[in-house]
Amino acid sequence: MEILYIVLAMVVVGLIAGFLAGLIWKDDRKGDYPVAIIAAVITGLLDWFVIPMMGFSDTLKWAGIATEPLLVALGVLWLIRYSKKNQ
Amino acid sequence: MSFRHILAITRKEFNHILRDRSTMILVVFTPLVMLLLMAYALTVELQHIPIAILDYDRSATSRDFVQQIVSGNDLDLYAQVGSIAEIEDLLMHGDVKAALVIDPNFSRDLLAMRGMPMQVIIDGTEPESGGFAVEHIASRAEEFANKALSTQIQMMGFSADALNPLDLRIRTWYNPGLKPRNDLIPGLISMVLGMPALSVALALAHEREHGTMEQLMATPIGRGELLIGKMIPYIVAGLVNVVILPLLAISWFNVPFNGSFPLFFALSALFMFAVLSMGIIIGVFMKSQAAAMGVSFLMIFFPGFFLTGIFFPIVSMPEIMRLESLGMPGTHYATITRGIFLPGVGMEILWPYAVMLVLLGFSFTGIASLFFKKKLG
Repeated sequence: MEILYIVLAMVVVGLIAGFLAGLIWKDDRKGDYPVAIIAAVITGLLDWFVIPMMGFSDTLKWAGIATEPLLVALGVLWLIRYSKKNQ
Repeated sequence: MSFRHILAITRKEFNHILRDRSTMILVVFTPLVMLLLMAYALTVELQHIPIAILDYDRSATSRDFVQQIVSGNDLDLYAQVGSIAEIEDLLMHGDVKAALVIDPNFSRDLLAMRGMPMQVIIDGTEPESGGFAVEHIASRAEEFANKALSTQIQMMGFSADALNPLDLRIRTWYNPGLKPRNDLIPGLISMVLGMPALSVALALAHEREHGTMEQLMATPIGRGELLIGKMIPYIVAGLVNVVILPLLAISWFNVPFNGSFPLFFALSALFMFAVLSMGIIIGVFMKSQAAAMGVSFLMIFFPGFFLTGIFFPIVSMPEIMRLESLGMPGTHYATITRGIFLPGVGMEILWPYAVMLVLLGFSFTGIASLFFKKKLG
């Protein structure tokens, strides 16, 4: 059940990141939303399940899941824009 | 993404490795030689540390004590001296690493079961040898004192067990002899297998430097196809070492291999993918081979030395450094190699590390392919 909550929460974070990307770069790319959701879900699962298994503290787990998925999703969207511009 | 395009680049790169002897040596033989050299250089077991002894007591008991101190291979009696000045002279010249001073009342205090003052002087410029000498002198002195005291206690009609009320039994699992090589060599494998990453970074920079990248850019081959096609031959060449290096570890260094070899091979392939992706990133950004070489050492080999837990335990590092170590494929692979070699663990324990390798590999390749320009200028 826990995994479902994390995935749902990260889908919301991905949607926020997709919306924010439109505001930041002042464009409207429909492809942003699925990319941001995938990036946020992968990062969220990593922060919640994998990192604690490597001996990191709970504080770091919470700090990670609160900030990383959004930042990673925005980072991926920026990378894609950068790459398209330079192609 | 076209498989034919990837295959064409892969074939071209294979030919390059096979026909360019220096690349062949770098990719196939360097990891082997590095493992041999580092395994010998970094696992020096301290032995025959020279010490001096200043025996003020000069009794039969103190002579027995000296015999006991130098009875093993760990400490060698370099000289029995007559004064502190002589000890100072020997330490200054580096002839001894430690000196033991025996009190004039040594045997009398031992018989009277009183505290026996003793002094050990060590050369602080070589703390490792000095610390080793202190540890071994202390353990022999304790053995000697216990033996002498238990004899006296028995003579008084008591049981000698009264001296050792604690019955401590130590069992070392997974590496029973606590042999440093058994722990270090699996870790070193993760480090030397990073060598093909240097080759792939150099190969990309070489294409740029010699202008052949322009010809590749003019072909219909895509960015991702080009990078994956370049990476595959180095992964294959690296996998040759994935077979050779454990064989060397097992047969030459007698390191036990308790896990599953297919699992080791599969996870090594993931590591090769992740570490070569790092090489690809370096190759994408660097314009010359010299720069690619320098940055590869800075990004792959130096952190591989200090951050991956091969030499310094990751748990003892500050959390920020531990987070940094998560970005290094070597950190996860070192855990995998040690886990498979010594306790022989399986995927139920190693899966987080495998997940990290996959994620790092895809992230690095993705970033490299996004930043790789198929345009001139």
